[in-house]
Amino acid sequence: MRIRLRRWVLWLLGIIFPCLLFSPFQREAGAFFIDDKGTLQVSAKVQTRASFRLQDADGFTSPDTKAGDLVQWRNLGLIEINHDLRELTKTLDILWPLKKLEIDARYHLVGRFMYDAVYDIGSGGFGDVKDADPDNIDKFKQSYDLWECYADFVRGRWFFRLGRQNLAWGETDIFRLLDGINPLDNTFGGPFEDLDDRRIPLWMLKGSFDVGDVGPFSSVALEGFWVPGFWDARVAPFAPPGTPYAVPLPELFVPALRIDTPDKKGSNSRWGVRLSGMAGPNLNWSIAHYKTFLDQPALRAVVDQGQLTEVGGEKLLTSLDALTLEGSFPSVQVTGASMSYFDAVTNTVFRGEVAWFWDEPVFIPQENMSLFWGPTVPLPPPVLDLAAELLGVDIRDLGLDGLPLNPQSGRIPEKDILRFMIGLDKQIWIRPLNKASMFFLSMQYFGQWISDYDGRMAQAAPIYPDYVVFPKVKEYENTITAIVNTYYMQGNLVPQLAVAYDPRGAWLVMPQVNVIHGPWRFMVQYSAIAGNFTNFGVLRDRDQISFILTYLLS
Amino acid sequence: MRFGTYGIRFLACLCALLCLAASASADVAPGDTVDKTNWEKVQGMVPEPVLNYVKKGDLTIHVVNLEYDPADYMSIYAKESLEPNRGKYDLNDDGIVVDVQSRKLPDFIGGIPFPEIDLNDPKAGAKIVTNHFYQTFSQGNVKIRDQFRWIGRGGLERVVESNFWQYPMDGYPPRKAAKNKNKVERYSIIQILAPYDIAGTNILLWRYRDARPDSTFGYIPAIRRVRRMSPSNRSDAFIGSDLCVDDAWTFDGKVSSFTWKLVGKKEGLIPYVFKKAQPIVKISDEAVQTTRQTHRLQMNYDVKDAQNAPWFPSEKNPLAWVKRPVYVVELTAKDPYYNYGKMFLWLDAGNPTAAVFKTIYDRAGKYWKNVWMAWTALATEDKSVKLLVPAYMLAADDRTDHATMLQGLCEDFIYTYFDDSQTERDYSLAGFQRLSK
Repeated sequence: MRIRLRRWVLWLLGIIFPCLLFSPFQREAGAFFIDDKGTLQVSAKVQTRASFRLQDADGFTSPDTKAGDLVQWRNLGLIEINHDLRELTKTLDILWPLKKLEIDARYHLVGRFMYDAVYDIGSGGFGDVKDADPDNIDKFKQSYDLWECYADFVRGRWFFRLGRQNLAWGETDIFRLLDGINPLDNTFGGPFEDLDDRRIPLWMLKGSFDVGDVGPFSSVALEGFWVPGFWDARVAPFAPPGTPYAVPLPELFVPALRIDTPDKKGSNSRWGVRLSGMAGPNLNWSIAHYKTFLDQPALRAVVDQGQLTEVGGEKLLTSLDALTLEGSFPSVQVTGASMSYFDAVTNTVFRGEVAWFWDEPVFIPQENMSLFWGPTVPLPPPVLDLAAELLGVDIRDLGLDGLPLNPQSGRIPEKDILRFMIGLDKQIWIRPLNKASMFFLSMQYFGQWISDYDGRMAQAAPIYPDYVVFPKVKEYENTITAIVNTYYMQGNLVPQLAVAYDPRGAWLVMPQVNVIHGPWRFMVQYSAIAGNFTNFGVLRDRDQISFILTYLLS
Repeated sequence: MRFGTYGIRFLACLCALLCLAASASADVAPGDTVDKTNWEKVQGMVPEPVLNYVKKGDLTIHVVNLEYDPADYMSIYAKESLEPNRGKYDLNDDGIVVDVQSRKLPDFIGGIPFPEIDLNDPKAGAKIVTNHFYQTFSQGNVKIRDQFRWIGRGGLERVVESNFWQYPMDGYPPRKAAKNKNKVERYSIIQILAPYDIAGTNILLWRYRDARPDSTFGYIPAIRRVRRMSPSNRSDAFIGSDLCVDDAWTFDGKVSSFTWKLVGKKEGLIPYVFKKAQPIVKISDEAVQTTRQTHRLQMNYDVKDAQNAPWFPSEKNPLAWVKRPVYVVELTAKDPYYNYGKMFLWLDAGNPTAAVFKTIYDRAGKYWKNVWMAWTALATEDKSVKLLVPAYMLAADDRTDHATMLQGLCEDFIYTYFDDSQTERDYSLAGFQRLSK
């Protein structure tokens, strides 16, 4: 495998990073409080992450990156402020209502600054992506956000959190079932990134009531949230085609792609309610119902009837300009339950979760992109050849032997889908490998069953080189995940291995090592997906190695 | 050669003289300084690992008189319990405190359960350590800010800053009226404040009054959820440091999870942090708080060319070593997967009973590391409130020649006792969730 690293990159890795690691900037990263009473804490970190492909791009992945290419240089700055107002409430007149109502309050702010330099200095391909779509990429490569901004109010059994925040329910890691409230930003690494790093906070009102003991149950709490759609209806961003972690898409479809995000209106609100508690000392349970938007858009082909050519009372599709590949985000409601149980005999925490996704949009090519399976006016091969030359597109690649006759827009079918997870967490000693620290092992089995299954169901990612052949989705699908980590050198060396396996033949392997030195963190992470083009296997040509340097200001 | 009777008598006298010489040399007086040149003076008065530090030149011991009597600094609730609790309680075979008559778990225990220790009682070791816990419970709700420091021979390597909150349901008489349906002995929370990458990690502990294992929950910012944790990892290194969760307070395991044996009682040398009681002030009707008049210890790693090990206080503010009666207790975990083998605890045998040293052997029986807790007295100006509290904690791994120290009780890290701002609801799952990001 050829590694082609630009010389300046080698310089950066080989000289600058070690210098920074052993530089005089080794002060303690202790907590920093503005006030003597320790109520106003400021903390911050800066991080730079450089990722290099370890294999050549394949299939519909664009641009045509090669092994050794820099595909990400993501720079992040986070500043966080936490302020407990209880002391100020005693003396500050403007907070008199809090004092009068005996409300404890605090607020939390996170400012986030992000810039991905790869479009400005990466391999030639990403420069071309930027040149082709400068406005979009300029917006995509940088962001300056009041990332989190909320206030907490506590009075007796009541608790409210108001503002831009994340909320995670359920018991799953890596993949989400009941944890689908906040959208995920998969545009900068997808499954190669920690789940929490990808969460997008929403403007939300969350409240909980500590019920206490109810019959045989203890620690019962009722919790609810509301994300007003007229205020915040954002969904998972769709990675612009040509960006390093975009889902592989034939270039033919790119000009036709249009992503429609939900409008800001009340009916696009997210909301949910959860009841949780304990049964006995070892069993935690919860039941929940919520409404959200899924992270992947529902795709369908839309035909602009006004741009069809009318011939003898029939309409023919004679130009691809009449075609749009539309991605939309219908809302979904989810009902589910989760549990965790500590078993003293095996010294293991068992976790379980089940979720029913009501009317989830699914992809059935013959429905979503019906025009490619409908009637056509056949054309002789020489005409098709000429058309291919003139249009730059061979419609035979789209499964067509002629011009679509009276083509209709596709529809988005919906199915109820049951998903569940069984998992365990266990800490074990493997003394031949580590005498000082335990290994933490976490394993999960995810299952998915589609009620009213349709054998035509597929994953909306065409299998190269065909444009309209898609990986099948089976009635029953499953995935297994495992994570193991431990500490060495007094916690200054933290290796971890994460693995995901789809029995249909896709593997995700992510070993990483984190080195801690004073306020510095240096991580090397290898991410690889191999196997069949299914599930996360659609990103199987994106193997990469990442170097992440973080400096904690406090 | 005939050795004969005279030879035997000569040898016996010689042995006796040598023993006397050894015991005579193993004694110190206030004002003595013991270092590697005269380490024999403290032999047998400190645990073997501590003696080895002196021998190697890593530690200098300054023997002093405290300007107060530690027995006078028990909490008021502990003092008031000494008489009424005499002979009232026992330990059952599981190591659980029971009423001596009914042999059942009492509804509530106020103060110290075992004011008198019979050295011949096979359960003496467990009772002494139970007293150690109840002594801390009698100080009411606690809120402590502190900092864990990783220290190698090169100096300070890393810090983790935290809050520690404790809410006793037993041992603290104002809590007697609480319903305590779940029979909780105490609640506690560790809240990590810094560094940024682990800030927001919180651990909630429910320890029960009966033999049930602890319920432990962790809020992990990376997953944004409260996750149930196994209590068995209490012998696992805390964030990879030299100490484990059970090393807190020198020993923080569940008494019923160990087997105990009182090795003996003798005179020892115990380190205190300050010779004088440190000031505390009342911040409400009940609560008291340390002040900024107590200054951070200067450590040897702060001092260029310091002679002693970097993880000990410097000669500018050395530990105050005091002759005190001590109990030595041997303990072993019942859990076959506990990471430590045999351990020896040294506890101040005066009132209050405070754990001071723990010597730890590995499961193969080889010495591994030692844990220290040095205490200090606190008092309000009018002496109406007096407490004895931990002020310096150390876990030193002698295999890796590395230590983790807990810095607390100074101008940057304030302690609050009898904290009336806490409620039991803060320690429910819903209350715990409120701390989460």
